[in-house]
Amino acid sequence: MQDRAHSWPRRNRIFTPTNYRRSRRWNGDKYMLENRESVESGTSRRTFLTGAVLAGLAAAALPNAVDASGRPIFHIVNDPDSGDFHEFPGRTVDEKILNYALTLETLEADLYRQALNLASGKPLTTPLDTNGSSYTLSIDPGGLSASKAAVGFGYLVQFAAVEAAHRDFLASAITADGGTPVSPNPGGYQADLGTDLQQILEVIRNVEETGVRAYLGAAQFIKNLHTLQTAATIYSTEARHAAVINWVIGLPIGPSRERLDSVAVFDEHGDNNFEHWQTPKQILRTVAPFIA
Amino acid sequence: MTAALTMGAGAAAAALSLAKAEALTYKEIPEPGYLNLPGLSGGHDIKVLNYALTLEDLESDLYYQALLRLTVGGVNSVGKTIPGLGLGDDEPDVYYINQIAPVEAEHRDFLRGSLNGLINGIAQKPYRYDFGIETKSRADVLALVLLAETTGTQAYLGAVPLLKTRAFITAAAAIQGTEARHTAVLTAIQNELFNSSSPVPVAPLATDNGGREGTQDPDAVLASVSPFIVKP
Repeated sequence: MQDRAHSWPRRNRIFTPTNYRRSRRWNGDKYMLENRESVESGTSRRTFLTGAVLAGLAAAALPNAVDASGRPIFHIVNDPDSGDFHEFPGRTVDEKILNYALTLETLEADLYRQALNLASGKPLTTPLDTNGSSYTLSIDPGGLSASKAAVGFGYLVQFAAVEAAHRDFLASAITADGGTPVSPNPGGYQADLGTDLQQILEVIRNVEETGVRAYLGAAQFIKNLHTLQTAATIYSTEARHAAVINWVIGLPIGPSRERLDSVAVFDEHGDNNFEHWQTPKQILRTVAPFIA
Repeated sequence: MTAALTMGAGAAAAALSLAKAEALTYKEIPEPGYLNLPGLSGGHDIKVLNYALTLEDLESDLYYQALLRLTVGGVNSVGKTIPGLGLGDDEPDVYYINQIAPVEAEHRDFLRGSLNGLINGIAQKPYRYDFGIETKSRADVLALVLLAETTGTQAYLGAVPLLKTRAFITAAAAIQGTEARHTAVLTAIQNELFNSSSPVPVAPLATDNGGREGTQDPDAVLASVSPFIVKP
């Protein structure tokens, strides 16, 4: 066993985000001592993974094991909605999940387009111009400093093009596999985006955080591992977007547990060390007001 | 070296002496083969988790050493003295490294505790790490932490096709998302402090792989982190 008993630098007792302040674990030397103990005993957190491994082994032995409603027996918690993608068209679960993702990316891309138009003083109906240099910040920054406003506006420009690319990629992936991608909502999408850049970014931030939770909730149900890998590369980008927009508007970078969230890992040391997820039903309820 | 210990004594000795000069490979990550019974692939997936643990262990130690270097200095686990640069806690790099450090330690402890909770001793043992951080500038410390986060972000994605069961996907993805957040925010901080005239994208652009995160294969990842690992 190597010696890990060194203490944190004396001045760095902070670990300041409010979610850690509650936890005695992050207080100076105490942190490392407990840390050391858990490395040595290694058994303090058996609850989640032991169950998961055993369930995984059982499932591997019985590859088609499903519950009474036809879902895999080892899904994350006993939430009957977690694997329910029936609202989305598709010949397979994977195709339904890709259409679920496409539904959200279409909405997200359109809200970004509108947000960018609003922040640039263009009519909301203006189509997205993927040449970002045609956009100039021309709205009150709200509570943002000049430098944060410039950076935040730059993110809007970049991310609007990225979300459009995600949408187009998913649609063509579904088509290439012989499936039928869902169409955009005929009535379009709407959001109260506010009257300044800070308010716009707060709305967009919520949309990104919703996307992160949707992908994580769906991930375990994707059967094809290469499809899962591709979906995860989009999820990763959404997490990056959410974090830096949080940073611009002065929120904790996340993950930050929200009211409807389910935990992916039962963590006795805090709520925000792992991403959270929501069921398709919860996600659809959250985004319903955006669908005109 | 668990992999080495499963060989004959002579082969083990040879592997240990070679190990010092050679990069760690995915083959060397411990895999409890006895769990790979017909129809089962538990050992295989535990190897994937041990691979993740290897990276989280390195990241956690890097954050610790980075904080020492940026602030008041100290001694790292290989016994090197690290002079502190004396930065305050409210400097953006120090502030966020301070925030992220306990999250990475939690990921490490979760993976190690869970693996050892399943079968004690099954988890990859911790290495010690020498990042040469004692001579790095403030900008180089942040660049190194960012390199580790980017590698971690893309390593999880590269490992997805290696999994045989569904059991670990949500937990692994829940870690991966936080790595992505860290990578993006540290890039934003790097732009703010050192790069404001030519900022680096904080996330893949639409023109870069369609705005989708890159992936890295295990052997490429291990080759890039191996220079920091001090093998026993």
